[in-house]
Amino acid sequence: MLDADQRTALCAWIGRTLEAGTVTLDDIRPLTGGSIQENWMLRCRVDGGERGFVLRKDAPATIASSRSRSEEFHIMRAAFAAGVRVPEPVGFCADPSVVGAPFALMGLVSGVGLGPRVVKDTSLGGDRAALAEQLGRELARTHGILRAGSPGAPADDLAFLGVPEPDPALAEIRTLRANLDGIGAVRPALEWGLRWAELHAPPCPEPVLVHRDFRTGNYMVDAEGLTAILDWEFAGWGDPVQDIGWFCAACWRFGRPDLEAGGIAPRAAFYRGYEAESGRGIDPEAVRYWEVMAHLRWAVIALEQGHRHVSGQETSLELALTGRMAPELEAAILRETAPERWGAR
Amino acid sequence: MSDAFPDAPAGAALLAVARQSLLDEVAPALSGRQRYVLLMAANAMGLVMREIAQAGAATEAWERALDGAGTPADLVAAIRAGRHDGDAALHAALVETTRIAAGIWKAPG
Repeated sequence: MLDADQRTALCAWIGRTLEAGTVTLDDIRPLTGGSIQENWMLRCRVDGGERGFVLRKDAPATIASSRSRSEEFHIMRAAFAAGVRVPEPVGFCADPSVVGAPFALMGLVSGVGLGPRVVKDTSLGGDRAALAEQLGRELARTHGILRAGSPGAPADDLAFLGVPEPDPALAEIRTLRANLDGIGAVRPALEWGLRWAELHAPPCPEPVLVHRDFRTGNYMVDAEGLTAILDWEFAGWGDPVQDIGWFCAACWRFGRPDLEAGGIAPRAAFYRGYEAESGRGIDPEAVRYWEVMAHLRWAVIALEQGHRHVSGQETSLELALTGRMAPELEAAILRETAPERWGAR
Repeated sequence: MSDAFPDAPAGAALLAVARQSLLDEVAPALSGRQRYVLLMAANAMGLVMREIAQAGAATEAWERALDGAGTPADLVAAIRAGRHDGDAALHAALVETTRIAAGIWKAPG
């Protein structure tokens, strides 16, 4: 994993970042999860005290739409400052010689993140309605992060996110088509859904920071409740309803289609938390639109993951199978975009 | 399998017994990542079995979806250009191709 020189360099870097005298590395091991990043768990002794960290660096192949570790780190720092429950962003190391690639270091948070387990094991997460309500509040706080130049915005370092698209839905559709073209995917059912989405795109009154992968499977819980929101690698300026639709979409309920808020609770609990924290109402029609978009986007990502295997970039049975799940998502898209739903715009 | 290749068990049937042997005789002895990989491999084998069984139906469904549209890429271009907006016949044909493909991904319940 790391040779002796790299371990020494890593400890020295952590020491400089934390302004600590002595840092020793007691344990380092790979963490499961994260098909786009490589995650390691570190246990260190910092000036005699025990500290746990997670080190995140890029895996051999990345997908087109994911952000660099540096950008993800700065987004998490902004979320942390806004009071969103994220792992403490400790530091970012751009020097590839330390562990072989640039990496972000975060505080270690305990909990379970695996989506199917979070949904099935009700000894986790505490009261489920309360969990969904809190997730709604966390998402609203994320959506409260302002761009530099907005009234009341702090000096920020999110300039790399660029200027928001005036029409986030149409921008998303352009991206998804380009991603399909990029891997040579010919999928008429997805194209049907994308065309419907193009004709029915809702206006976005105010672009905000959206997480873009806010769903069960990307937050951690312990027995009491939420411990951290993870996986900020797709975040950017966009339509806040995109995150609400992604969280509630049927494809992210892990075998509990009846619990429309991420397979953990009724939708009302999640909406209640979001509306209370943001002071904004939720338009159910706009959410329904973004749930179709969620299926479209997940299908494109699944095909991209499959392409990593098919292209020979990264041989993996897991990636190969992920690429084959698109038809199930396409079936859901076709159900929601039947000809009778093309009239009203 | 065509009569020109009479060896039995052929394709899907051979995969079926191979898959069942792994699940019955190997999976119980495994745990953790190894068990997960074996179950994924069994899943992939089941997928290929269904793909073999559905090959004819899938081809026919695609022919109906492409009726007069040219190649799949031509159909994609036509959909993007708005030439099939709300087209009930195309929607029905795509529902059918997708139903078959989704049933290959996951055995219908």
